[in-house]
Amino acid sequence: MRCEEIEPLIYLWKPGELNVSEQQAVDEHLSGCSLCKALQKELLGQNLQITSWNVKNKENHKADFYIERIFEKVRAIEDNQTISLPGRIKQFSIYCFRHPVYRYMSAAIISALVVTFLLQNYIVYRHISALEAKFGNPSSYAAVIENKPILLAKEDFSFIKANSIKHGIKKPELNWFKSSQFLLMTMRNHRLIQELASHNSGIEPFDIIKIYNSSVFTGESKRNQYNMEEKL
Amino acid sequence: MDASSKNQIFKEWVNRYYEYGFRVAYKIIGNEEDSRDIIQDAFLKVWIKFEDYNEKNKFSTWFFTIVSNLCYDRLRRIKRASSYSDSLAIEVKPENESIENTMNLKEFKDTLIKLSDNLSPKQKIVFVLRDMEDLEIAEVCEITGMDPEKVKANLYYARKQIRANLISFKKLEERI
Repeated sequence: MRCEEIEPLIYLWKPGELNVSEQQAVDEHLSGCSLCKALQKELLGQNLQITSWNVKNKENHKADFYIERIFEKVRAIEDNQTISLPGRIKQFSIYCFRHPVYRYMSAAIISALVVTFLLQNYIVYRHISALEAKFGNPSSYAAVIENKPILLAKEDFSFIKANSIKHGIKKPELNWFKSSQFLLMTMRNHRLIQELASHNSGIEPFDIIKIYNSSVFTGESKRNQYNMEEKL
Repeated sequence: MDASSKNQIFKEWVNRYYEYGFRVAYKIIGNEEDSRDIIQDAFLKVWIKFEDYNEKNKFSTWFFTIVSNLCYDRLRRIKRASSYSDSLAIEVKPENESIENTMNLKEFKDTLIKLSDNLSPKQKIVFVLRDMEDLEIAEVCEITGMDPEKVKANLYYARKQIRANLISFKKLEERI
C-alpha cells in the first residue's frame, strides 16, 4: 500500500480502532517506511501530550453551589404543578438571593431606599425646624393649600376638620408632617378652601409663601391634585 | 419506584458525576459558565427522563449522551469558544516533565483553545471523548449516536487537524 493510502490508518493507532487486516497492512507498511513510522511516533507523542492535560477546578466550593442549584431546580420542577403564584414568586426570590450577585444587588437597593427615606425625612425636618424658628407659636399650624403654604390658627384646623366631615371628606390631611409646633397640611378641595378663606379672612399668607415655597411643600403633582378633585 | 428512592439515586448521580461531567463539557466548550449551564441542563433532563433510563446500561453513557448532545447544540450556536475563566487551570501531570519544560501553563491554555478551535462540533466531541477522556470506541459510538466508521472518520480528521495545529503553533512559538 502507498503512503497516502495508509496514512488515515496510521492516525487510528489506538487499540480497537483498526480491524485485524487493517492493522496487518499498517504493520507491513511501517516496517519498510521510515516517514510513516516517524508520523506514528509523532502521533504517539501528540497523544501523550494531550492526555497530560487536565482541567482542574481550583474552587471546589463552586461545585457545591451549582449542585445545590440543580437540586433546587429539580424541586422547582416537582413543585411547579402544585405551587401557587405567590409560592413561585417566593421560591424565585429565595433562588435569587442565594446567588451572591443578587444578594449584593438587593442589599444595595435596600440601602439606597433607607438612605433616601432618611434624607427625605431630614429635609422635612429641616423645613419644619425653619418654620418653628420663625413662627415659634405652639398653637399655630401651617397649611399647604393648593401647593401654597399659609399660617393657620388652632381653631382653623378645627374648622377644616368640621367642614371636611360636612363635605364628606374623611381625611382632609392628605399629606402632613407633624412636629411639636406645626402641622403641615395639604388640601385639594376647592369648596373647602373657599370656606376656609371666608372663615380665615385675617390671614396674610404672602410673606410666608416666599419662605415656605420649597420642593417639600410644592412637591405634590398637579395630576394627583386633579385626581383628588375628581374623587371629592 | 417511590419518590424518596428516586431522589436518593438522583442525588448520588449528581454528586458523583457533576465534576466529571463539567470537566468533559469544559474540554469541549472551553467556557466555564456555558459548561456549568450544560451540566445543569443535562441533570434536569436526567430528572425529567428518569423513567426512561434503562438500568441495564451504564448511567455514565446515558448521561454523556445527553451532555454531548447539549454540547453539540451549544457548539453549533457559538462558533468560537469564549475565553477561559481564571478559576480554571490546565494541570500537568508530574510524570510529563519534558512537556512541562517545553510549554508553560499559560501556553497550554492557549494551545488548547488554538488546537481545537477549527474542529467541527462532532470532531471536537469525538476527540475529547476518545483522546482526552480515553473512552472506548463503542462507548463513544453509544454517546454520540454515530456508527464506528463515522466515529473513526471524525477521529481521523480531528487528530490530523490537531497535529497540523500543533505544528503551526510550535513554529509560531519558535519564531517568537
